[in-house]
Amino acid sequence: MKSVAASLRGRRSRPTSLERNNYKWVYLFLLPTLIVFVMFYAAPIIQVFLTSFTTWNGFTDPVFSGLQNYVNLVNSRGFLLAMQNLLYWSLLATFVHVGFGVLVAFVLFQKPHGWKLARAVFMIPNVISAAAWAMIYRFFFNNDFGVLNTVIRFVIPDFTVQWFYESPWAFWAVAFTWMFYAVIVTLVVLGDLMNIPAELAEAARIDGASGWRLIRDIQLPLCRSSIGTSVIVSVTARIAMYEQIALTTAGGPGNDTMSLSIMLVNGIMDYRYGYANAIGVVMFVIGLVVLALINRAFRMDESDL
Amino acid sequence: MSITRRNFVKTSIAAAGTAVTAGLVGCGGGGGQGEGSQQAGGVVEITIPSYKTGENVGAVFFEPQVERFNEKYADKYHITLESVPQDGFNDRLKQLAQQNQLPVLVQGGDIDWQTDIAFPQGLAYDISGWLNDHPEVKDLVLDDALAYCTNDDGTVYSMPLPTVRPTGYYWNTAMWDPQVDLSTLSMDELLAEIGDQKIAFSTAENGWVCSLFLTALVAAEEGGADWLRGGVEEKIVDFNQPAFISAVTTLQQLLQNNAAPNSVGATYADAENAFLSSQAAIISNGPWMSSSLDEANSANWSNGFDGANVHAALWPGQMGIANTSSLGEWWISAAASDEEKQLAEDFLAFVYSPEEIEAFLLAEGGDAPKLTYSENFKEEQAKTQTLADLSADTTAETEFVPCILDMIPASVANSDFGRELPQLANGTYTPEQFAQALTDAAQEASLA
Repeated sequence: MKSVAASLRGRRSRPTSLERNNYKWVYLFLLPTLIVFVMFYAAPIIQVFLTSFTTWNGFTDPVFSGLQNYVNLVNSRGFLLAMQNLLYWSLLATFVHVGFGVLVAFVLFQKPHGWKLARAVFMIPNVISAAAWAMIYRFFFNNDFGVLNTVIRFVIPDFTVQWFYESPWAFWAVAFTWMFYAVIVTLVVLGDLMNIPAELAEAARIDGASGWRLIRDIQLPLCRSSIGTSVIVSVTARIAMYEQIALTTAGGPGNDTMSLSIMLVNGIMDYRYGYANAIGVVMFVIGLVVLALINRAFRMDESDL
Repeated sequence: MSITRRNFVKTSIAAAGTAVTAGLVGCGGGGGQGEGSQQAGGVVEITIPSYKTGENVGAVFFEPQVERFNEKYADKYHITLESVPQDGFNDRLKQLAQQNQLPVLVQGGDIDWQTDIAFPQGLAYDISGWLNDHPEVKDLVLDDALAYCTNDDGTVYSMPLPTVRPTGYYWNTAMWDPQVDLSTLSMDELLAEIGDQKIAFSTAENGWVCSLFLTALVAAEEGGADWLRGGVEEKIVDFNQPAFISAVTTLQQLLQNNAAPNSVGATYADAENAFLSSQAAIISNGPWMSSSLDEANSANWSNGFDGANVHAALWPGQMGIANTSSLGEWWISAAASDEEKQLAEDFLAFVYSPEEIEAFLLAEGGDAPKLTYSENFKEEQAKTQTLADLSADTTAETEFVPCILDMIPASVANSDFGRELPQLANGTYTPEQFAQALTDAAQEASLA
């Protein structure tokens, strides 16, 4: 006797005439999306890849130059520091930014008194643009009248640090412009927490689990997928991070806070579009690698429920 | 073949979706802005994108000027301004050029883009013939500017400037009132006279105010002015020069001893605010600053600041910071029709008329060395102290040097220079290291 699954497989391999007739409509409905995707995503990405192997000023015809742009990039003064900064900022994003967001989600999940207000307040920074935050932090970290140094001077009257303009503080000052604004992480994880069937927690409690054990063995594992998604979003945001750096340190002091995005824009300023696109390709590839690694680390395609 | 009701609904939805997509991807066609003309009742109409609109400081003079042109030629021409933010204006022009949608009158654009790309690509109309036919206009333009704008084959694409707006320095006499004739002092004597007075600097953005002071210091060094001027032909990529290092040494001392509070990390607006709030006695700036010193803008003053107390001068050695060997503000698109070109040429003739040049100088400051001023103009100019000061200093003997930021690769000017300044100010860099850092950055930026 054929199994039900085999029967279903058999049916799938031989669509009915009605289903075949519907395919053309399916493809027709997909067509607008495909056109938009090809025009606005695929074609530019292909162009970026191709022109990254050329000398191109953006106006005249590109001239093939092999790997020269990539060689120039690797040999440039800022590249190693930009990669190092990306690594450290990604680690901060993964463990501090996402960690903080998850922590807040778990606190809100307990529904303490005033949790709805707290959630709304936690949302506020998210409606302020990254550029505006960068400007706010320029005042916050100002040596002469910034809040931080003013407070510190109550304890150490002679304290003076130019947070955005001195090593090694600039790296941390830039990191603070985004590190604790993790409302997206909180909302994603909170949504997952709320979707955990109540029976699971009940069963765990009957088995003697409570408090930290319940969180560690039941809730955290069941939020794996949303935490993984948060890590992907946070780390890829670090790869593309531009405003927070450009409006505060511009990559300085020296190259202390240099990033690939700043180098890319500088390349465009000098009409080195081929070089800038080579940087774009490197950012794209790093993004794909990060995506694959995090997908694998968090087993994103598996479900525990 | 009959169309069923269900197929009809599907077809309709699919067609609507495709139409929306077509709209999204811009299949609608149609003219862009800023290009083509309409001829309504014989009136040639064009739209030109400009950043000198709305709240932009340049709009105060430019918008009424366009209106005056429209009124003068009401039966022939009409120009409409399309407002474009200044920050994205140059990119907007490049975008329009890539789409073959350049406006008839092009308001400048990125200098490197004009010289390296737009003009060699044939995007600009040659105005040399028109200039030769209009000596009343040609005789007003600066000699250096005309020479710079004239190509080897005699063509002229960018309309050479008739005015120069040299940058000098301003001081608040309520804070610093020197009892000597500053115009007779050398740079060293001037710095000694300044003593420990506070100077407004900026290091953020592109470190503009610092760059002005540094330019003056470099120009005061032996061979410094020529070294700066050398950047007009070929961008400076080697900063390991005695004149530059000596000037940077002085700048470092000024940043460490004379800088107004909050100078490190200050933007241009912060530096100007330091001056207008009596936190700094001195600031380097151009004649456009006169509007900030006008009583009408006293809302921006604080700590007892009074614009009437401010005087201005060019730098020692009658040296003003201005690049006279530069492109002008306007050029005409080669793609324009004959009627549009005629409109553009008449507009340029209007803007370059003595009355309009004088009106411009009164509004925004500067000098037109080849224009014989009217008596009325002289009287009006004398009413603004700083404009009168700068005008008195601008004579036939005045030497002009270009700002250093205009002579170095764009990414170094816009990013590296300001980024390295805090290191110089806090002593992390020696002047030699600062020069080497800029050299490395400039040479990297010059790679193909």
